[in-house]
Amino acid sequence: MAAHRLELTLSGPITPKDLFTRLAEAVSTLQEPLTHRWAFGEQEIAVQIWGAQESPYVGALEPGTDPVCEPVYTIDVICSKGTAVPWPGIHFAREDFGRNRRLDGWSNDCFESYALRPEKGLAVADKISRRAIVWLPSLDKVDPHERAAPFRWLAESIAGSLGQGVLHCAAIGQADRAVLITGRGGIGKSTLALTALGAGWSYFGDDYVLVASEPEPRCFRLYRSAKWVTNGLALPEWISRDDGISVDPKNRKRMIFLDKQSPALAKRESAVTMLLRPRIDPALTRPEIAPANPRKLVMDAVISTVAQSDAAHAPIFAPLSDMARRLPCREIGLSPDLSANLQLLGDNLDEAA
Amino acid sequence: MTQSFRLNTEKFASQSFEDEVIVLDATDGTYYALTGNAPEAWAALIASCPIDVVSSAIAARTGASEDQVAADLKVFASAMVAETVLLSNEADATNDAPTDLSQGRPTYEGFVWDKHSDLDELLLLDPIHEVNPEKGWPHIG
Repeated sequence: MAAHRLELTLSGPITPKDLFTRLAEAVSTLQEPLTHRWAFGEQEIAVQIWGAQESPYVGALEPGTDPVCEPVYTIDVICSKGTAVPWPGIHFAREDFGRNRRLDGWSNDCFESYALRPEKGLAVADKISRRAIVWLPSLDKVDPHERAAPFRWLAESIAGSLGQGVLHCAAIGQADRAVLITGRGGIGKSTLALTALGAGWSYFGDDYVLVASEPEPRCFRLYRSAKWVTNGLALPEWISRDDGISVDPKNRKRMIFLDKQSPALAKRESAVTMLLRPRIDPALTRPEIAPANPRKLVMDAVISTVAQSDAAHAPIFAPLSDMARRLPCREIGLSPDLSANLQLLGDNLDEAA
Repeated sequence: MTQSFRLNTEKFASQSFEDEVIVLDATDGTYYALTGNAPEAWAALIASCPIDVVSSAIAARTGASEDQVAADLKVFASAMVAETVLLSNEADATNDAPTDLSQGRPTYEGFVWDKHSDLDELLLLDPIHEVNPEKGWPHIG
């Protein structure tokens, strides 16, 4: 691969469009990207990585199945180390930053810019041409959270433009029935999802799931990764405390990429037939399940999604509220007996169907 | 001149849950829970129905004093305007089409709202703490 030295130093007042244009010009001089297809609901996203021999994203992205279909969106990732495309010569001031990664001062109706802080990188998304360009100093420094759920910060905006949403939840199922497990971090979403994964249930995600409410509620897997905390309620037998890689040492969180042959990955989408809010109660000897207040369930899910959101407007409120009005909402008290938790959930999923 | 309002859709979205309406600030997760007679008034208000039409209908249905309902609804609407949830319409933007206000609580309980701001504890990232006031972000090389 030829190395390019491209002068991107900008002078005078520049706009997000200028920034995008310069980066697009840089991409147009490069050759031979690594390419992925990322299944995004019923659509696919093309991911092109420039200047790398290996992709840090391939393990987690749900692979597409139709390499010749027109992608709904394109993401170009420039590895500066491999392409010699330098940082675009700008620095962001404090007032440019919004909440989380979004650079409000470098975003407008057509373009959204993001500061990828752990990697010291930058992304600019053009909503009109449906293309994002990511500049990273090196792919070696991609953050473990980003490896587990690549481009999640961009996925929310793309999903919103398609009338869908990326919900902070886990989703598991049997046959063509799935349950969305919602709520704030640490209340048992991953514990339940990992137990289901080991028991051969379908697995659609443990943290971020694409959901659509029309024409019927459905969920779609975006990522083939799973995370857990090593000091949680209990750990399913199929996983050991040292498996995978550490993504958050402070909170003892680890992550694995799922085996491509796992039967849990056989289906990548499902009808949603129940919304569930777990709570961990080590004092329970047997799990218990009861109707949940739809409003509380929705707001817990929406607030935890907004907290981690980079979209200007979390597009999840309406579709999730719609689901809560149409589907049974339940709260499950999880006991340390993981298989009993799953058995009770399975029985209720059958009843709800 | 009668007043009317519209939802500030740049920031807010609302959803109904049985006897409650939730109004979410989708930019920061703050939300407002509307209860009492506020949910039945809400749909009419954000449809730009004149505020006096709304208060008259609720008073007629519940048997409450029309003056009391009108005064309470004005306070409620003013509070929502102060929170930037509602925006005041220009006079010619009022929706004069009939709005169905026949459904709602049979008794008058007032227009109750509570504000919830429990997002801060959940915020995981603080991207601006690495911004150098002099050099900006990032610091390369």
